Amino acid sequence: MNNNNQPNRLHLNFGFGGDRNNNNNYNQDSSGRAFPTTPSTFPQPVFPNQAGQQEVWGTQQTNNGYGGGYFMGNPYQQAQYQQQQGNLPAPGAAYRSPGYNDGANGLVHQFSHQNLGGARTGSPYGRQPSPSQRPRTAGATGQQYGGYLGGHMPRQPSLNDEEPPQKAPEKYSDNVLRQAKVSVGLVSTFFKDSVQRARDRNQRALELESIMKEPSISDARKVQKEINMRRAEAEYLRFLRTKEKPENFSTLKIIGKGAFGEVKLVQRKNDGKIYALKSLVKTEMFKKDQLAHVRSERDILAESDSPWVVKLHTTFQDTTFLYMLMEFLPGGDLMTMLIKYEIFTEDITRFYMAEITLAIEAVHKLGFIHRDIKPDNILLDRGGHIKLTDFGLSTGFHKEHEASYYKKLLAGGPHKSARDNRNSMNLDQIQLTVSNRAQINTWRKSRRQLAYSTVGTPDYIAPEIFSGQGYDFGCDWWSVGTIMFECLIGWPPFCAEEPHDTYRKIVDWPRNLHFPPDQQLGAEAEDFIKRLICDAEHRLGRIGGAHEIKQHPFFRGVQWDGLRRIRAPFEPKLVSNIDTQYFPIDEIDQNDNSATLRAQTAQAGEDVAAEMSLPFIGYTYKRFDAFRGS
Amino acid sequence: MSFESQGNPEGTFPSSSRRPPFFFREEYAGLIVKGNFMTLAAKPKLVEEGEWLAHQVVEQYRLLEQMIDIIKVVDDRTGRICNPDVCPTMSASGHTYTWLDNNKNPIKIPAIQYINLVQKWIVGKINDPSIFPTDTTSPSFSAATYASGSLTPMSTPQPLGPTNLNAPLSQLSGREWLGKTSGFPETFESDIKSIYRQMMRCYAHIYHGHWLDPFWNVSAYKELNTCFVHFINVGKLFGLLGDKEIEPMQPLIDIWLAKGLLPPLPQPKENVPVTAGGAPQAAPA
Repeated sequence: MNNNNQPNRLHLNFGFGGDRNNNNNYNQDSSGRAFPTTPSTFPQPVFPNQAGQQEVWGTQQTNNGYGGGYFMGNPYQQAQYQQQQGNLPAPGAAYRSPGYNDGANGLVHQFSHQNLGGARTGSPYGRQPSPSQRPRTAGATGQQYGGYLGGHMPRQPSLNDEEPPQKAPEKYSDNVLRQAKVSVGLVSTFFKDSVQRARDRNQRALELESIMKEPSISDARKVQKEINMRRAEAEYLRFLRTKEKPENFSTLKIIGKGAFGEVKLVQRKNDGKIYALKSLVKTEMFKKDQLAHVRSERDILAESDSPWVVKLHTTFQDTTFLYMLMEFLPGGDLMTMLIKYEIFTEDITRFYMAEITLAIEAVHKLGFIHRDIKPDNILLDRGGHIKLTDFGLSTGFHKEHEASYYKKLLAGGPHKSARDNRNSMNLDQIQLTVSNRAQINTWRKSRRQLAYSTVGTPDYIAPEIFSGQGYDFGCDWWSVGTIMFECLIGWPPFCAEEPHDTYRKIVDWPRNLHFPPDQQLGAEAEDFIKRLICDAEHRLGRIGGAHEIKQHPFFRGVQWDGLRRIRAPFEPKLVSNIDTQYFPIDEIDQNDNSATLRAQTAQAGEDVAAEMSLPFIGYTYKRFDAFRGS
Repeated sequence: MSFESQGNPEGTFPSSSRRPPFFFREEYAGLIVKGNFMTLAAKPKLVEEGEWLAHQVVEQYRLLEQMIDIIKVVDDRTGRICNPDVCPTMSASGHTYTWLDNNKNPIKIPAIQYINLVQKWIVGKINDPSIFPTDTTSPSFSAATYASGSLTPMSTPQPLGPTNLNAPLSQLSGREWLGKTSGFPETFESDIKSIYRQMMRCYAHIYHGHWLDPFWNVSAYKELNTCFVHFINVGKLFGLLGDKEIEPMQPLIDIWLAKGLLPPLPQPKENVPVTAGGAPQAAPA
């Protein structure tokens, strides 16, 4: 497989680059780290307990022991109100004592109270008035007043009572409760984030301090380091202060469109920097059960500081969209490469498999399982090295990543099956041999269409994920095997016309994994594939993880440590920093329909806005690293 | 636009045997965050004070906004919680805050209207780049780091930032002011003090007018406390609030002072994370 004359073949570009003149942007990992040191006096957020309630004294246990307070009709207090009123110094100063209610207001309150009391079920606050308390005006108070006030309502609870009244969330409509929940969520996120930022900032100051003490660094350099750090800190504060919004960016091109949104190449208006801006339609994410996915993607990208993972600069949202501002990788993706070149040589395949192995290792070290490793999610940077993206299906060990968590949070609502929207593929049931080239090409054409559909392609997903019997980190190694198969053979091992046929083939993989006889693979390559496309308990990497994978003879001679620094077999040749030639954008509708979507949300009103912001609390994120100079 | 306060000092707190309002009792002074709020308030060593205060004021406003949203949201059945019937004036304890009409006469307006006007005014200030500069490309922010792409040849022309406009003049005149070196205008300090004063009034109204309805009822009072303690800490630390302005909420602040959640004044303004351990010291309890 080393026919160098074949125009569609990639040529190997191995060797440690003496020639490194093309803007290699690897090695970004060194300085930008924030270390997780924890000085003891930092405020510690108190997190809600399982039931979503703050467990602190004074909130929950007020149920007993305050019985009389609420309804205690205290005639002295009435008198005091009068007196207080009389004490008002300036006429018309409209001073109102706390808790005071004149008759009219009292009635307004009382009526609302009565109407709403106990009418609702399933209050998120877990404190339902017991039926015996209805109507809430019953009991001792009723009798007390009833005698001489002709059935007048009891007075409102006062701020000066001995005990506060029983909490009455049910007196408010859902709007209010929803807003309270949103605000409470945002405030606790704010403090959690602020504490973390203070820690990180402190750590950076300490790092700088140790540099200042380092005798081997010249004074001029020290001064420069401090200036840089001061500037970075100030820039970061300004960035936090500036509300990020889509209008801050101008769209250069739409480079990807999918079921949930789109990816645009954008330029920030005030500084000219280039980014990829991914926007996701909130209502779609909500309808299609993608909340957990979008959250896990945000988390993994925010937490990782790895050269193998596409960098997330910030996340923000408006009423209609969630946005992820990411680094733009101009080299396109592996899917586009495979569509273009059909197959790779074994050497080139080795390079990509080795890089993918390191990338998966990095993701696993963060505690995430990617679950959706496929050529579309393997992007190529300026130097032709890979980075993983699209962590929408990744699972970490956060409860926020469980789809069920969000379902509970939003309690009900119809959920449309994700498969309703599937784009059908134009592909006959095919026998995967070279004689079916024409059909393979048809498959290849529909490949991109499928990539942007709701379900995506199941071609690279491990069988244990479908079985529902649990899976672990090993499922990502299966995907490596299927991608490698595709790189060497020209199609993924289980491809079929309909995704459900692919599912079927994957689950029954022993009978469906065929190596076409006319394409001879190297013995090690074939063995490696077979060690990955197999049952989870026999799969390579099950015990030793990435380390075990790296030991396979197929990778013999790979310089793991310097992989990202060698020249990649394929280096994008770019004419500008906004060159999108590696993104086949001519197939993508360039019309911006965000205005339409926004108008729809606006029509739906504030109500939906609050509801939509609820599950996306904590989504907004800003990374310091984006501002670190040098 | 300006503001004025009509105070009724006697009215702040009835000296009778009545119990103080719940929010002035220790058992309802709880927070959602443990520890010393200096961590979040002290100026970081490497940050200029004007820059830090701009950051603080914006964040403090965002927190307050969350609290205000709760009393502003429309209840389908009863209307807003804070409405002209329930709160016909912007009052807190014995204070009624007035707005100035077009003829500069103080007028009493419903609290919700007052709060709306304050919000509009604050947002206008905060989003005005001549008061709160956000530019990071002017000379003092000339970092040539390009996040993902390279330097682009096609960036649109920029209006000069305030730094450029102010620098030569101010250097000639030799005047100093808060935030000058970071490009903040000479009026910056008085602007943020005005903003802080108005935010204080909003907190005072929220506590005195809405602690029970709705913050207690919807279990948001600890979040309210947490926002407010942070607000007060920053305000006192950097002299943005006078004692008179704090007065309607003084008993709660005293509780937090006694618990060591707020540092006693005077105190150093600088967060010095350079010694081993690096953490600011806990305030004496």
